[in-house]
Amino acid sequence: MTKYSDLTFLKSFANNDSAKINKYVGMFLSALPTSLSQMQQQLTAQEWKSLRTSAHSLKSQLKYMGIASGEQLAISIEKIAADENGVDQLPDLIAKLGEITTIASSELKEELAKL
Amino acid sequence: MSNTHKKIFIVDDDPILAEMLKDHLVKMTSYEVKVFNTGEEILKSMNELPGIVFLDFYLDSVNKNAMNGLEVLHEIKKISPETDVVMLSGQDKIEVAVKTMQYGAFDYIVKGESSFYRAEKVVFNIYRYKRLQGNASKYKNMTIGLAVGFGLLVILILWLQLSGKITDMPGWS
Repeated sequence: MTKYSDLTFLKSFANNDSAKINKYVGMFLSALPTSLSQMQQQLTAQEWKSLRTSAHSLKSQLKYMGIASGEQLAISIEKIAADENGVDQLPDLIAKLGEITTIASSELKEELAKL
Repeated sequence: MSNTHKKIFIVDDDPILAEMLKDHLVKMTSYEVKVFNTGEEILKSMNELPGIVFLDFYLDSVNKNAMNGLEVLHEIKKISPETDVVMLSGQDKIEVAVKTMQYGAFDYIVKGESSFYRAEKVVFNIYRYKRLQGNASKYKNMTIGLAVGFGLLVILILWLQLSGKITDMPGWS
């Protein structure tokens, strides 16, 4: 089964300190719904510059959580919003990002439970 | 380095990155580290004269009305020219890095997995640079002091000889 998250980097960064890992993942899981909701609103309002900025910010966080496919989607969204070229692709990309991050969030919660 | 230069401020509206960077720098350096989420917040605390500020380029990503990184950089350098500012950005573009240097940034770090290690290295580089600056200033003052002292000695000897108070200087006819 495809795994969408990978805590290898975070575990190495935190030196396997479970308190720190819990802290960082907790912050991500807490902020994610707002970030996705914001992107959806920006898409609806066609605020491309704001959408670009939101995708840019989310990109780093996805990287630290090891959600590689999510990170790639955020990069694509950022580029399309920045160029305002191919914006018709954005609804699908943002929907896909939402799906992947939902699955990844469940995986992360399971990983935290094992620490 | 004065005590105030042992402070690091981190300014980033990404709370996860800011927290990770803070934890890393606290662990790897002997500096006191504080986190701020907006430029407005850090400017209120600049009276603490931090030695180093890690400053996000896109500070207005969450709050569109917040000051952006370049604006904050400009204000920091006005308040405390001796504070070294290191820009953080997800953009790996040379023109952006150059622009931040033109505004007075000491360095530019691209956000990613290696950025924490790079930030740690920059802290040590800044510390070494400031120490070298201090030493260079000390040696410059010493050299000037020695030159002035030597000059005065030569003048004294010439005056003594001209006034006849000394006649037997080896090698002088």
